[in-house]
Amino acid sequence: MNVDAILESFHRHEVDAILIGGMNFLLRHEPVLTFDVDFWVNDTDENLAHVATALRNLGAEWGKDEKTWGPLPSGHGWLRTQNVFCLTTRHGAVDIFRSVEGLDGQYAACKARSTVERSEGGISYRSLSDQDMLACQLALPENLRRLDRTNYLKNLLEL
Amino acid sequence: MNPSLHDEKAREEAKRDRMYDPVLRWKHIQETITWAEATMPQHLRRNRPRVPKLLKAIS
Repeated sequence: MNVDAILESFHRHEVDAILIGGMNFLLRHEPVLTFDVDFWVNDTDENLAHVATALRNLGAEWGKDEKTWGPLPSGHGWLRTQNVFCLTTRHGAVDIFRSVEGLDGQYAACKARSTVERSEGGISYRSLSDQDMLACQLALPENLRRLDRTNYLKNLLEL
Repeated sequence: MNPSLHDEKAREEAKRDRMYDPVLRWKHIQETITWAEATMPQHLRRNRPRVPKLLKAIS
């Protein structure tokens, strides 16, 4: 996976998004096994249009089902049909979230708490805060939580 | 997690797994491992230079 290429496309197309999930934890703290890049995107029409362009630029493929799987549909209306999208791109797997459990309806507040970071390759991206990463984990049923991440963040935040 | 959101995520991941070109997927996994190792702090990398036991004992 070429993480920088994925971050660069989102940056270049001015996508309003926050990096979440395992890749965000890996870049902020310590290595965890993760093979996709998760973005929580601001759920406005203008921004979803940017998301679609950034994904197209990465050669993304997706389909409502196996029969329709292939290059992205035109426009960005398809991004309104679901809350979560798991896509493939030339550079690796990308997940797009229009809403995130535990943080639903709080995009603006989470963005204010997020920080702008730079990848090793110098690409800037927004990173979900530790506090909000923990909230995501705690919103999951216990059997779905990443215990290593949850405990790490609890210790870090002295909870 | 809200069951519908969780189900949607699980369905999406399963669909992607089925549609992922196996060769491309393997390439992406290999690249991710290489990238993650290069990104992580030196003391966590595999095949890092080890301090020989004898030297460790002396220091």
